[in-house]
Amino acid sequence: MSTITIPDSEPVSVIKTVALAGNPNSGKTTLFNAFTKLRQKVGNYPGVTVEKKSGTLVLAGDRVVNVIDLPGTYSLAVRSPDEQVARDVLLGRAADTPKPDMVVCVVDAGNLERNLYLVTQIQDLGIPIVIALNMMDEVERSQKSINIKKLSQMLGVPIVPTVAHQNKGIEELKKVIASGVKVNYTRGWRMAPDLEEDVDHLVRLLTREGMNKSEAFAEALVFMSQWPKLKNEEKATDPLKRFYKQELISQINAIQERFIAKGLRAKTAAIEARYDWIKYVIKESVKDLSKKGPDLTERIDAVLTHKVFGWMFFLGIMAGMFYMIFTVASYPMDLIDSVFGKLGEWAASLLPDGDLKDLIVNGVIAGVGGVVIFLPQILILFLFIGLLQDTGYMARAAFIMDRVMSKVGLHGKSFIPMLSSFACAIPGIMSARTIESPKDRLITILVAPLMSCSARLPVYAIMIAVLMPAANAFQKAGIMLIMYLVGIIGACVMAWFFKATLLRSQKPVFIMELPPYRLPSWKTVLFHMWERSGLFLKRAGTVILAMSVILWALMTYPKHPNLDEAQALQMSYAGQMGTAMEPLIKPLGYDWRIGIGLIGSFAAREVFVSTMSIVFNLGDEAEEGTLHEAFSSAKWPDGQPLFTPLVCLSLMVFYVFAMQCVSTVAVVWRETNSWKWPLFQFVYMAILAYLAALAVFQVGRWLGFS
Amino acid sequence: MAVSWLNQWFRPSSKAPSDGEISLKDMGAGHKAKILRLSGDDATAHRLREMGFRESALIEKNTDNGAIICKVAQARVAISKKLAQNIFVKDMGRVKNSMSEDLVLLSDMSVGQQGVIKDFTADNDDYERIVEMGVTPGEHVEIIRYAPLGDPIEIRVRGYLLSLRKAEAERIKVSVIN
Repeated sequence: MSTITIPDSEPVSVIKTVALAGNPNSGKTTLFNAFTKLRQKVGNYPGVTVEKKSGTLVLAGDRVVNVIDLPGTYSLAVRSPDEQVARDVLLGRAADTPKPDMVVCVVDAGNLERNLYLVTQIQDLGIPIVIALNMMDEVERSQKSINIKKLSQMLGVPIVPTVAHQNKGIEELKKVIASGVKVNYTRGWRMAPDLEEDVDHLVRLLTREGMNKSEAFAEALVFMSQWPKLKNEEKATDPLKRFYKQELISQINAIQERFIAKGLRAKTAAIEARYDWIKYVIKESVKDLSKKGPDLTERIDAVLTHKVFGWMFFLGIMAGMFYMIFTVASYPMDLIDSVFGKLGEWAASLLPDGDLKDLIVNGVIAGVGGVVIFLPQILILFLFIGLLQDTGYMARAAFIMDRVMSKVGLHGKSFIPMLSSFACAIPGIMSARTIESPKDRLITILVAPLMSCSARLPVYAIMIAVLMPAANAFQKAGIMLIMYLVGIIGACVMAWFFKATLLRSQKPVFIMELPPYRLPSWKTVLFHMWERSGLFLKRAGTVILAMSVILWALMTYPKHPNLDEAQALQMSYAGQMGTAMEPLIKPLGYDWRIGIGLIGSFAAREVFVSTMSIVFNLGDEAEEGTLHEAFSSAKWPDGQPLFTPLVCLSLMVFYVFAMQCVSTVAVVWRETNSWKWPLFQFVYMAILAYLAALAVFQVGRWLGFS
Repeated sequence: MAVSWLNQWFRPSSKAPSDGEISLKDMGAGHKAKILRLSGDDATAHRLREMGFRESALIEKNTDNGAIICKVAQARVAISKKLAQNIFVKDMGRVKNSMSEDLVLLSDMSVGQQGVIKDFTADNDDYERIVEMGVTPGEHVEIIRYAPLGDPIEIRVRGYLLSLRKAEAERIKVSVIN
């Protein structure tokens, strides 16, 4: 690990900002963690849903350097938001992000060929580069040897061998960053002469507009390979438009016409030329004496993607994850519940009676408690996801499941978010980040809350008890299963519908790397859990808290001190809303009391049970048994029973489809970085729930059921 | 693109080729040829010569979809059909192991089969993503396995494992080695 090759480097300017770039699975995140420790900030790039991770690196002599962790990409072409962001940051075009003075390219030494492709693209941009040749331990174990000095010379870039998860090479990298690197780059690859000529022409046009040469070259290549990009009619949506004047655009278009005439090959000329050059560089600098037999990864894959064992392993992993989320998580969840209960009691004993006490105890503490209680499930889910990703199994799970998911237009990687949503849609939606395609990710987020989460269980349980009091556990489980199936079918249909209409994209290319299996790095997995749960608590927590307080206020005000709890609730804003809603929900078979329950459920579905206890005058801590008796004897004013079997079914179906969960709305807002999608999701799910419940009730009545 | 194609289709050829002469555009893919003469204005001819299309040079026409790819003096050069109309050649027949021979679609290969990527079917704009992952013409591929439900496919290319759906693999033409 001691070889560092720095060809005649001398500091150009003092490095203030460093960007980390690299392919997915190259160990970039591990290196970022090693650099920044806990001095990290996670946010979003303005206007897009791409996550922005930055932090600080402390060099010798307490010098502090900004580190930006670019999204992991295979390329700098501008086809996905991730690539767009990486490119914009490197060119200094991203708002709120300083142009990096230096790029650390993280390269997987075991997969040099494809990893160096991105390096050649970054080199074009003319930014000083150092390569962190990562995972050198794997190369050293194999029969391969890399002549780092030669490689460095040929690429014109200093190379530091690293093993990021063992912290090897980090100090050496820091030294290179401290001293700075001179750009020492001559393009080693060439395309066909006619293409080179046209690219030259574009470069001349762009440099005349004041762009520097390397940037102009990089832009010219974009115009060559992505011709429809700068067509006039598309300009309005093209993020580049602010950099070009109209006449320049028409000149560029003229040259693009020539590329178009050259056909598809103009698109890939640069790609092929780069790979040809890389192949040559590798031939000169790498000796590969490894035997060509199946390696460990392939032997593992032979089992894990096997027709029989593959499924068994997959189902086993999923069952294990589910078990952990549902049962193991319930212990810390009960603990959190009782801690917040105690906290509420303690606060209640300290504070004088009145609105403030009520706000603190029932609004703030209950609201925050309602959020924090999901934390164990989130931690466990992200422990699993982190492990699956870090070992490389996640890609295999997507590989196995893709056929199934593609039937409804989803990606193989949509599977984990959908499955997790059975426990809770919040971690499910958060885990959709592993899906690269923004549209597939959005569809997954939109349909994930249709999977019946654990918060619906109490509602299903009480409704089933009212529906068939005499049924045995087996029959009750059957009804429960039907509700789960209704949700799954709904999710599939809606995913298919969105894919076919709203989010139609020209058939996106499904292409996914299957990285070699590796032992997970616990540090990386724990970092991942820490980061995800921190984000959840901080960002979603603030919104959920605010919403809880609003809901509390709706159910508390205006105050009617002389009335008992149930009457006061009826007179509150929430009660008035429930009463006002009655004409709307009467076709579903619901009265105003159920209306209040629906409004209360918006905080969280399980609140239905406690709200209904108050409505039926049973007090807050009613036993399920007494509530279901109260339900059974509840009547309409004309004496008809309220909770007929049809109403129970209709209500359950309503709960399957409706997005009655503030936390989910908040998380979708955070994940999509706009209010548009959570609002859309709320509305479509509300309409779906209403129509489905209406259909159940009205068709059921028409068929003669009660 | 469609417009230039229509133009070519409807425009009567300005000069009928003489005996044994055929324009590079009209010659079949996979054929070897000797350049006889260049037509068109001086600038065009000059440009073609610069690219290596000189009189009496030997060339190979590799593919013929959208653009024409030729092997000229060991380099692969892409030219438009319009330009190719200006190059008149003597067809020297099919090249052995030519690109257009024995090509199968990647999606039709069986597990363990290896081959060399030759070409992409032209009907899609969207395949650069695949090319950028290193699936470039001339590269070696091996089918590692099919997913348990038959789709997607796992391949090895450039020393790493990649999976793609059959729909994508159907766009890739391969010359099979074993």
